[in-house]
Amino acid sequence: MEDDSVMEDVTDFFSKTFTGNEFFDTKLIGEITIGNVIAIAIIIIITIIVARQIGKIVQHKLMIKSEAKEAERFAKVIRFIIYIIGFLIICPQLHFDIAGMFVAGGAIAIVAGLAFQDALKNVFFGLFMIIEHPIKVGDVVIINGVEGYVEDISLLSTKIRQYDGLILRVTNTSVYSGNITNCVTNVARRFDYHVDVSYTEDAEKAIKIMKKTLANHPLVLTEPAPQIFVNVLGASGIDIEARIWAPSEFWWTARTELLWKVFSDLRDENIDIPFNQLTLWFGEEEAKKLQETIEAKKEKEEGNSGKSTP
Amino acid sequence: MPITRPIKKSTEIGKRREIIQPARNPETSNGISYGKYNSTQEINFKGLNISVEKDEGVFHFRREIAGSIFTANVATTKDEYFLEPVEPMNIPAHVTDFLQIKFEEIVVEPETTTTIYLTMPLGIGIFLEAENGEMNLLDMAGFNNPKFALYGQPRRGVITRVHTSKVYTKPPATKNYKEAILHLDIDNRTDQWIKIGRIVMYMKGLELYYDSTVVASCAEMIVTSPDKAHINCLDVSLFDGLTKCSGVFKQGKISKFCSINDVVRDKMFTMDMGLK
Repeated sequence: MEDDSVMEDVTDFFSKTFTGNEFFDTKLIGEITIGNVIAIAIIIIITIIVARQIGKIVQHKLMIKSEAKEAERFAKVIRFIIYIIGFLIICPQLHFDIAGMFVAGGAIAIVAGLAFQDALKNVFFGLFMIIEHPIKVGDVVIINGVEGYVEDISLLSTKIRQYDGLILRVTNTSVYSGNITNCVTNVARRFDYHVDVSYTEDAEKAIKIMKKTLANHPLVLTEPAPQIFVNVLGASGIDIEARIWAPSEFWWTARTELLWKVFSDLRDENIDIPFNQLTLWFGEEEAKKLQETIEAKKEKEEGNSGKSTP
Repeated sequence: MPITRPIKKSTEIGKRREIIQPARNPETSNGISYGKYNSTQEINFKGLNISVEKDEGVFHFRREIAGSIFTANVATTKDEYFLEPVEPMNIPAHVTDFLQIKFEEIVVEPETTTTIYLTMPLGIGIFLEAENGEMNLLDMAGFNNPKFALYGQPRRGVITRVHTSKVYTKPPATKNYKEAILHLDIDNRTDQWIKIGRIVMYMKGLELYYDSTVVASCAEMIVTSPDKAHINCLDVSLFDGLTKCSGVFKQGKISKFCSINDVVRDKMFTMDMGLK
């Protein structure tokens, strides 16, 4: 309501200022007077100046928070809105019936809204994403189970470059309403290793070796310090767990480089890393029967091979 | 109650440098010689090997240190390159722009200023100079095994290149290829005794000065509460006759390694997550 009255005040101001004398009231085209033309020219100039200045300010403020491209896009939207307001102020000078236009515009808006509701939803979610900033270009994200780098955020969709190079285009509605995991929001990220050592080995010695390996790697953060401990006494061996923090930007590098180093260093120190193994025990009776069966089978095989020998 | 005096740059260092003389390491005769080299001069220094082969206007540059090899073909009219100490960054990659020095805790009296000396790591930069005087970093090498640590929490913290130092009351003897001297003025502006065991610096402001035996830098720490201090790196030569280093810092986005807003203001870093 207040906005309407402001608009009315502005249009009244221009209507009243450039009227009331012979020169201003001289008609040029139809009902349009010289006063109207002057008012239109002034409104256009003011609108352009205001749109540019506000656009610049918005772009500058957003560039601090987001990518330059996004900020520019958002500033364009703001400028466009200001131009529409300018156009609405000009309408009375052109003797257009704004009320009628609004009725017609409202009907068109309803039709357009129904026809483009999905697109409009995406545009609004795109704007929300630019403002709220849950992700930005270059971030490593997991969106609805898809992992990759954010390649581009446009008004309608977000492009994710997966690790295999494929580009996935996700609509902004799905991004905003789905589950987003941003892997690089925090500056440090943890990864874990589970290493099994044989029950015959000294777990403390293995931990010491692993600690040394981690201490020698530059990308393993000293704070928070890596944690290495016996996690589970497993079926095949003693499960040693290592929890390691690395800078988020280098998380993958550290994770891929370290595992082999840990394994190599343990192997160099003759620490046995067992295969998965299972010891079956049948009880004495069953074991005896099994032994007899095996021996009988062996004798039979030997007999067969003796017959076939010329 | 913390005292909120305005932060201003220390002016004491200029006065002090006249009376302080650099400690000369007995090993300095074996220190690296920074400065200008030409393609006929090979460098073989404690595992750092640099050689340049000239081939009709193109220089084949080769650097080796601890198994890491760097080669480059350089098209230049000038038959020379420069060796200079640089900020400890970009080794092994551009992991951070922040340097953290941890030291034995010292306790500082309320409303006093004290000066300590620390050691800090440094890198060795290999620069080329064009005819128009434009310097370009060709390569960096280092004798330190770089380690990194998080200052703060993963959600609100800073990745830092970390170094541990002893606390000295006068400039210590250092190896000019490995460590620099950091002159640190601590200004406790609170009315409480403050324990300090670390500083975090933004390398944008870190200015190194060197001569044939020593590399040095200056900084000030203004403590405004038991958990908060502002660190300013100062563009001041600690001793007379030192040459200013070219530096390798390039302004970029720091959000990759700093997730805290408003802790960096130009060259100043605000430690607001503890001083111990």
